[in-house]
Amino acid sequence: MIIDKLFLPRVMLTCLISTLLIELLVAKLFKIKNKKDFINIILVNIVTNPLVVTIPFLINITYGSFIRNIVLLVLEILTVLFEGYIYKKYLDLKKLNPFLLSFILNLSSYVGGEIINLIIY
Amino acid sequence: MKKILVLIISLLFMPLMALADGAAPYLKGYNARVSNPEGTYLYVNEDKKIFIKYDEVITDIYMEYLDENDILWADGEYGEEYGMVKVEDIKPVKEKVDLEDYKQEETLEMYVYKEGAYLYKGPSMTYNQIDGKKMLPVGTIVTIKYYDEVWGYVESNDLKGWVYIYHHLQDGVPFKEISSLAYINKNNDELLVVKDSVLKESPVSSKALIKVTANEKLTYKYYYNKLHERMYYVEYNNIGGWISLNDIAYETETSFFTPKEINVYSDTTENKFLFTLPSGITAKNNYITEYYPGEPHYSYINYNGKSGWINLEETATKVEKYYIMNTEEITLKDSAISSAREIKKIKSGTKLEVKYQYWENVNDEYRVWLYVSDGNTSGWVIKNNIIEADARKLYCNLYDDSVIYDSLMGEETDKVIKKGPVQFEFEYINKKTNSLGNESDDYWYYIVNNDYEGWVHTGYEFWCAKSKEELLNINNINEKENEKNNPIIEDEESKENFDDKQDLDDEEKEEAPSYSVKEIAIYCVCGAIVIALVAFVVIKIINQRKEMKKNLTSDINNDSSNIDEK
Repeated sequence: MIIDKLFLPRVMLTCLISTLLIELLVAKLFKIKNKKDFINIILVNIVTNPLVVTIPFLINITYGSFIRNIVLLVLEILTVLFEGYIYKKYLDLKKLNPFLLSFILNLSSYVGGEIINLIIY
Repeated sequence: MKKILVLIISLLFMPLMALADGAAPYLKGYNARVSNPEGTYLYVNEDKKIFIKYDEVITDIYMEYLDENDILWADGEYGEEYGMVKVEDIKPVKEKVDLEDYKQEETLEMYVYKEGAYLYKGPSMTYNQIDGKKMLPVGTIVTIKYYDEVWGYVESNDLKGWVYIYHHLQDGVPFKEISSLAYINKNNDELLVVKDSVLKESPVSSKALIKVTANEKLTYKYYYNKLHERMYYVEYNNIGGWISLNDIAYETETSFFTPKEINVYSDTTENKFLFTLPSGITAKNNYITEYYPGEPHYSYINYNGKSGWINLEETATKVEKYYIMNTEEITLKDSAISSAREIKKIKSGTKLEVKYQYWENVNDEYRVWLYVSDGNTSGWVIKNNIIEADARKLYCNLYDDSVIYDSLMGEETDKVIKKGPVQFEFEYINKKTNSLGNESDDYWYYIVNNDYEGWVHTGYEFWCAKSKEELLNINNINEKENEKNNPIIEDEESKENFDDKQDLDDEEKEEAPSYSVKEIAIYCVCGAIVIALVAFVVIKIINQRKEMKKNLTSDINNDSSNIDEK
């Protein structure tokens, strides 16, 4: 019996916004200045982040937390690879390896998210 | 790039690093030059040593050791290697020492218990001793405000200088004790001798001064930390000497509970039996020995006017009150042994308060017993024999009046719990498989409210709040929605219109589905897929325009360079 139907959509939005904030900040630290590059980073996260939030949630309800953790790990790896591919194709990265950038941005947003979780809850 | 990476990772993990720093011992290293014209060696390990030329600098030197041949060694770093170097071959780079670097919040009070407390000009034996090769007299009490783990700065009468204070020896390394200072006990703590023992001449000597019998009470004045052993300075029959931590017990205010009959002995050798403590009693530990994993741990007790020593491994410890719920029938016993008398059968789904826990050593493996109570009867049960329902405190809305069951997966009673907010204390999910082989979850909740407690059974999982306030908040949101749909109307005509509208709405509402958590999640996943596809298409469009622009620009550049060539 559901009480709050908007709980999950709210979580999706919160996760997306906090991910974008953290990743854009870290991207700036890596001297990414081009406006188009920022837009690409935003869009690529809109592709990946909602999926990485909702799929594990559904898996957790259906199969439990152990399977959920495995699925989450796989999704994170696929996210890093996909985002790295997009960065390689469309970003002006002269010295930076696009897959490494993708890994660092995702790691930062993951760790940042865990810290925010710890503080709030 | 590397630096930025290191910076970011450090920033992210800085809180953890700060915590780690707080736990590490305080050692202030210093740099020294090789003063031996022939150079010296840094001994990294048994097989590896590095030659260091004269006047080369060895960094981060700390900790000095005296080996069996009375050669003094120090730990240090050269190049990127850590190792040991002879103290006689080095001299500090900086002669002047800044005391403020060694300032500590806590002040140490130490006692010079033997000769040899030489004072140095700096916190290392690489510095010269103070003029006149002076040392602190035996019996001096010093207050130390500036120190690290190895050295302390003292001012006593006319004497000022650095003295070696380090006690602990590194495990597995055959080095001698250097320090002549012991820590002072300001509290007059009492010790109890656990077995016939001796007082020794000094913490590091094996020479015995006087025998001391078991159960003697002694007050200690100073203590000295040796590897795995602390030595206490006590006086017995007007003779002062040092007794080992292994031979004494110290005062305590803990208590224990007997899970079974326990033997009491005259001392910790367990050679002489005195009497037996009955099962099921609580008593105080007056003195207990130091705890070492894998070693017996003893307590000196007093029961009904009789005293003696028991092995604490045979006692139960009180646990912080918590509840469990057994999912199958269990039997309580009157003591924590397999052959104990059975006192009561407890049906499944009974809320049990856990009071004590006992770890029984069975052939070097441990079996855990719990002392539980159902409110009327208390007894022992093996923990592995209880499958527990998940204990949780959740606040949920019961949407329908629900029948209360007499036990978990038991029979219905005639009690009904009204719908509304309830508190759950336990949840149990019974996995069922139907004849077609499909699995489903059957939910059982143990409800607690003002009127009664009991099990209710649902075919679905409740979506609950973690606190009453959160639940009320959600209820308020739902109520407001209700009011919007069911306003109070005074006017008859408007009421008729509203009723008509409501009928239409009701028809729609009948068709509108009510969603479960799983359904909402599925819809959200589908939504996320759609969003992902749209965003991907946008990425493609934006970047195609960019590529077209780039291609156009390069075409123009190519054309102009062709024209120029011609």
